[in-house]
Order: sequence, then structure tokens, then C-alpha cells
Amino acid sequence: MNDVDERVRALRPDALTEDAHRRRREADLARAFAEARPRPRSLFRPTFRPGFRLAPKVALVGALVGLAAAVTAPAVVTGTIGLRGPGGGRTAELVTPLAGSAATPGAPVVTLDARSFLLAGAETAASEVTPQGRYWFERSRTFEPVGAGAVVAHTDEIWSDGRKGRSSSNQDVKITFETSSDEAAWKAKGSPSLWPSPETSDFAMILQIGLGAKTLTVGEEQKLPGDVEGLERWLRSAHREGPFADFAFDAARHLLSMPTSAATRASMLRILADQPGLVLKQEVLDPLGRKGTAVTTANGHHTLVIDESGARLLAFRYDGPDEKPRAGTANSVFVPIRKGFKVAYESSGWVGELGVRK
Amino acid sequence: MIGAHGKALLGVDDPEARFTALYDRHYRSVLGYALLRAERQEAEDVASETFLIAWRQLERLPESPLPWLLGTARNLLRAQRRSGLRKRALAERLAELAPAGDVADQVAEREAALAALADLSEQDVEAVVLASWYGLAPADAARLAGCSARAFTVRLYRARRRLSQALDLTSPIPCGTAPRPTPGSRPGVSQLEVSDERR
Repeated sequence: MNDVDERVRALRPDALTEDAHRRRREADLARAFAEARPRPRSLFRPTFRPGFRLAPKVALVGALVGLAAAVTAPAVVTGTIGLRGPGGGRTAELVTPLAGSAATPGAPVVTLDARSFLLAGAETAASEVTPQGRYWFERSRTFEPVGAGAVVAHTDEIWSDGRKGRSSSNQDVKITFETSSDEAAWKAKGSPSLWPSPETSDFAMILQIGLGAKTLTVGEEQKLPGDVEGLERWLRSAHREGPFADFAFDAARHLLSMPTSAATRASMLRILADQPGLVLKQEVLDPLGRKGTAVTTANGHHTLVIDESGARLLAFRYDGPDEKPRAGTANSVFVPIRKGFKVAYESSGWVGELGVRK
Repeated sequence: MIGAHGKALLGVDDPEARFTALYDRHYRSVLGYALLRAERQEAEDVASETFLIAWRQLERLPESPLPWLLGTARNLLRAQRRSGLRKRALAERLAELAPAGDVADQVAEREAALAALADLSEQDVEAVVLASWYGLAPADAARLAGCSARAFTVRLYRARRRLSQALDLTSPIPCGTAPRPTPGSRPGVSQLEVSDERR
């Protein structure tokens, strides 16, 4: 950089361009998005649920291998939870069943303290043995509001050893509309494509997840603190904005579905149990119709559906305001989620070969 | 990029998010370029049209998209030719667009820079603007300017030297030798990062 360039740069009409950016942005983006989505890349194009970072191998040479796949906790389901868990005392509330879910007809209404439920789940999680394998596998079904009353459901699978793997994206796409008029409006536009076509491809890419100010590769996931104090310290150092409870729930849906240690998962559940104002709803059905218990943050923005053991994450739902798009970097992009976003974790675990499912 | 709830993604293929990021990152640069060649309304329309084309071509954009965006804007400006902007020198257009400055020193520096630019050839003004505003690498800037990279480098060197002399800057570029990149340096890259990171 030299003074000449600085003098010439000082002539740049930044105020004009900034003003125009502010005035034109919304209309320009809307104009583009009104057109059909551009065709997806022919190379690997993962459509994982928000939360994953994919970095080209070359970008992280020497770095630890990342692992992307979210995973449910090992299915060591040990019967019903103890209703007399420690630390009760918060009044249990029943919440409206998740949209897309329904309370099981005829089910007994049992009020249960959310804290007790989570602490009991922590006990179960702590006793589990984490299996090993070459590839981490995850199968999930995501329900994404895409605007204009449309919701796209798609199933995605991923196998990853951290450095390479296989992605099978956008399977079994189904579109639903909130109202018949929404659907009619879509058809009036010629039923434009709302989602990319299915695609399966192998990839060589480091996968990371970003949580707040921190990122995690697979090796780092497995080394997360196993004690409550250590994990909470880590989470608070990663927490950047908004209520910590919201951040903790968002972190939980990732950490409970990754190959984290049993101790880490148990600590995560105990940290959740300490968040104020949690509400709990038993006997709900997740987006796949599986029975579980819903635990929701006090503001209602984040809900986790957990199986009856309290240790296995079934689904996540976001009911906060639509997240706004944000600028990314050369290798990153922030994918906002909208109110009503849901993801159901169907199956996961370690497998020996690509293509093998749990 | 970290989200409001701590989510981050690298490479996840959400076209709308990627396009939004592209728009937020480069809109100002594209409009700034168009403003050099068109009146404000038309320049804004050209910038909008440029990004609409970018949306359609999103999967085929180069890894560093700014030169592509500027090239598209240039082509639109050439194709439309409906500008109400009478043909005038770049230096004159710069004088119309330049921020006024808040204090006397800034005003004096601005006027001195504009006067020095007015004495340069049109091509040399374009070279130094492309380099200083956008930090484009010579090959990319040359394509925009419609010349060879070598010719662009010569123009840029000549322009910087003359401006340095005219502005009596304390660290003039040495005369008589062509600028040579130092080992490990890539002309333009650092400038690109500076100019493009502004939000």
C-alpha cells in the first residue's frame, strides 16, 4: 500500500454506495430469489442441516480432521426415566404439542419437571459406551420453511471419516404448503422448483461445526470436557450473543447428535437442566411420528425432542424469528433458519464402510 | 460465519445465503465502478442487473468473483449505452463523486489528488483507480481495462509515479525501474482484502 493509492482511495464514493446498498438490497435480493434457484454445483454439494462447516482439504492442511455428521446418542435405551430425579422444584408446564406433532391420544397427563427429566437423561447418557468405527454415519430428515407458505422436507445422509466421505442429499423431497392458497399461488407461477435435485457424491473435505465463536473438528468433539464445569466454561467462551439458554439448546442439538463422549453428552444435559424457565411436554410425536418428550426454552424459541430415556435426541425445532442472512467468508456461508425449521435425527453411528447404514 | 445462535457453516450449499453474502460483500464495489461510467440511477440499475445475472450464474462464478462482477457491469454499461451521462473524463467524474471531506486538510488533499489525476491520461486514471479501489491483480484489472497485463502494469506504474511526483509524497516510487513484487507478495491481494472487507 502506498500514499498514492490511499489518496485515490479517498476519492471512492463510499457514502453513495453505502446508501444505495441500504436502499436497494431488499429489492435486489427479492428480485433474484423470485427466479428459480440456480442449478446446484455438479461437485459435492452438501445440504446438511445448519451447523456444519465444510472446508476444502487444502484450507486446513495440518489441521485436525473434522467430522460433520451429527449423530444421535448410542441407542442404549434403558426403560423409563426416573420421575423423582434430583433437583426438582420447578413447576412443570405443558406446552402445546409441536406443530406437525400430536399428543398421543389417550395418554395420561403427567406433569414432569424438565430439570428432573434432563438430569435423569444425563444419568443414562453417562453410562453409555461409545462404539467406534471408520465412518460416522447420519441420516436426518429436515423440514425447511422456504417462504410463501411452502415447507420442503428432504432426507440427507452422510458418511465421513473426517477427511473424506459420501453425501447423499435431497432424497425424498416433499413439498407441503401451509394453506391451499399458498399452493395455488405456487402453481400459478408454474410450480417452480423449490429445492435442488437428489444427488449422491463422494467428497474429500474437512468438516467442522461452528458453535458460536468456536469451531469443532471430529477430534475436538471427542475431546470436549466431560465435566459440567468444564463444558459450561467452554460453552460460555463460545457464546457470543443472545440468551445463553438459547445458545445452550442450540449447542445441545449438535453435541447430543455428534460422536461426543458419553460424559460430554451427560454434562450437556445437566447444563440444559440448569437453564431457567424450561417447559416440558410429554407424549409428543416428533416430525417422524416417534414418541418423545419435548423440552423448550423459556422463550419458546428452541425445542428438543428427546426419547423416553432422556438421553437420545430425536428432533430439534426452531420457533424463534427468522434468522437474517449474513455475509460469509471465502470458505464459509451462514445459512439462516426460519421459524418452523425442524430436523429429525433418524439414525446414526459408526460404520465400517461407505454406504453401510445403521 | 457465526450465526445469531452460534451456528456456522463452511461450504454448505444454500444458494440464497451464498448469494446474499456475495451481494453484501461486493455490491458497493460494483456500484462504485458503475458510477464512474453512468449517472446514479443508471449505475444502480446496472449494479442490480449485474447481481441478477450473478444469481443465475451462481454455480459458475469464479472463486474470486469481484473481477467477474465488474466485468459484467462493464459489459452492461457498454451494451446499454443509454446513459444520460455525457462522455467526460474519468477524472472529471471522480471529482463529481468524491466525498467532500470534513476538514480543511482533507479538502486540500482531495483537491490536490483530483488535480493530479486530471493531468493523467484516461487509461492511467483507470489503472490507478482499479488498483486502489479494488486491489485487482494485474491480470484481472487488465481484462477490465481491455489491455494486456503487461500494459496495465506499465500504466499503473506510470500513473503512480506521476501522481506521487505531483502530490509531492514523501515516499515516491523510484523512477527508472519497473515495480517488482517482493518474494511472497502478490500485488493487489492485500488491497483486495482491505477494500472488500468493508461492510
